[in-house]
Amino acid sequence: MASLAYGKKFAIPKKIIIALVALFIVVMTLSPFLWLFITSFKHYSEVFDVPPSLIPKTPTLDVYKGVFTGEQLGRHDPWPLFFLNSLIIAGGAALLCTIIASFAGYGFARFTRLPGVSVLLLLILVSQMFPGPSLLIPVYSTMRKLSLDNSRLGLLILYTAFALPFTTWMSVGTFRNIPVDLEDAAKIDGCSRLQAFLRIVLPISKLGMATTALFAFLISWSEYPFGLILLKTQSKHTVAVGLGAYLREFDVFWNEMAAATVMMSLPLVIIFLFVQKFFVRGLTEGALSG
Amino acid sequence: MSGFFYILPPVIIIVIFIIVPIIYAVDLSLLSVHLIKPTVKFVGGYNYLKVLKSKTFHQIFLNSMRWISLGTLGTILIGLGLGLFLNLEFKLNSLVRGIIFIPWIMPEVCVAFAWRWMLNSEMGVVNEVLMKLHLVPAYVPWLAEKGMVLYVCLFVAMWRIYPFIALMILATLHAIPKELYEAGQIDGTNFWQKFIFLTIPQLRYALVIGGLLTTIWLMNSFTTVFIMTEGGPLHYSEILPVLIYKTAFQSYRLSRAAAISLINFVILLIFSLIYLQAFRKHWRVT
Repeated sequence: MASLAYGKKFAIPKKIIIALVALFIVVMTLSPFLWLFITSFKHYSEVFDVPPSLIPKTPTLDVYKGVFTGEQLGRHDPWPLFFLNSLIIAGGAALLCTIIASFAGYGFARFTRLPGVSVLLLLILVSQMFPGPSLLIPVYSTMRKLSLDNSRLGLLILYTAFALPFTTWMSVGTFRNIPVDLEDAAKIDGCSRLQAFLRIVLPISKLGMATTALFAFLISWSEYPFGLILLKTQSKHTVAVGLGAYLREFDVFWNEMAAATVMMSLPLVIIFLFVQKFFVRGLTEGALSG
Repeated sequence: MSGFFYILPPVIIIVIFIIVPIIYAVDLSLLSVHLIKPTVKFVGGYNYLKVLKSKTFHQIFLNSMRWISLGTLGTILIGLGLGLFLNLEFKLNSLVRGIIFIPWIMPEVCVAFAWRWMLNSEMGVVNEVLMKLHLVPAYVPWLAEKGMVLYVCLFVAMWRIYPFIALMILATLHAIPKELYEAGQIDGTNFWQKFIFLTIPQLRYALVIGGLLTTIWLMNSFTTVFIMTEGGPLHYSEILPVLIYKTAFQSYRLSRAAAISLINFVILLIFSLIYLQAFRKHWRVT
């Protein structure tokens, strides 16, 4: 923005300063991932080199092969299964959450005169702060009571519940921005409210729904502590829980840890690169306004 | 009335899986549930008394307060700086903007493992780079030094959050009407005057909301510390969330852990209500 410029006489050094600052930011941001990426192509023996080699001496894909087949050096974890579990849980939660949040967002945006609506909206808004360690113990006990512990379905429902407050809130914002006239026109043509919602309103709020789905997928795919306490059987573990199990290996199989980490985060980063613009806008707007 | 058909499903799910458990925790904290011992009796405030009297709890509570206050301050300052920087016009600006959001996209487990590996005291790349740049005389045991470990973990936790705050601030900066600065131009204000009297007041709301969100997120951060140090060495990097986990699943004292959870929750609730208050002022009333 021109208003923040320092004046013309500093034009050249300013450019250089900006470039240096930008470079510093990018390096600070990407170096951990870059380092993991490099480590994941190193042989086990090379991991322990001091000083660490910045480029793998004899790059290998064995580590990834090991992770894919469950034949790692350190542990024999069924990673393909972990990925499948995560995909089912996070995908299911994203789907469920999007459906519920879309209906609710529409409801809160349109049925503003129902009794208690604003109280319910406040409840939703404040409950987005609660999912976290304070809930670990009570949720653990509640899930046991409901026989939903050690169950992938249980975790799917739990993650849906955790993502719902924020996604419902975002969704309210989306539907408030859609003019009512559109539906009214459809209703004159003989559509019911539900039909008008499904056929007219939903299709034009695709971006909002995609943001909702991605957010729910993102937090479910990444969630660690609740998966850790609720999933006892290894075959039900998510990727996050499987990765956390490397804690017990006392800083040994760093190349395997790195490969698994790359595989866990790569899908998210790739999706993000495609949807970056509207996703970031949706999130920041959701956090700032209604 | 059919409107409730749209509205109620999320409310019901949130009540069952978020609100009811909190109420249930109150009940649990007044009992003596132990994951291994079968007998359960009502003990009233005993768990709270035990927790509040414990020296370890005091230390961890203090850690948590440092974690939240310094973390929020740091995140807001870095977020503000970064937001202002990204508001400048330069080539590749949108690329940098995209890249800085990646840490927020990355799973916390991955971020924690990445930094734990980078900061490794014997073969960590951070030590090697700092040595090469002559910034440290010898390898530093980042995660074993008792005076430092908490802040090293905090740095990693902040590293994941400040991109979000920066982009929130950037979005607000973009929304400031240009006329405001043009009016300032005529009055002959300099850069700093413009920053303090024009930009900061416009950013106040974003800073307040960002600060409260950061506080709440930092209160909820478990994974970073748990993966990087498990709270160690001893309790030097332990914060309340890690204590809750350890009390329940390593010492099996479920009721004691519920008591700590509620202490943590009350602090969280206070900040959440302040957030709600700040938010409502700006709320577009329907």
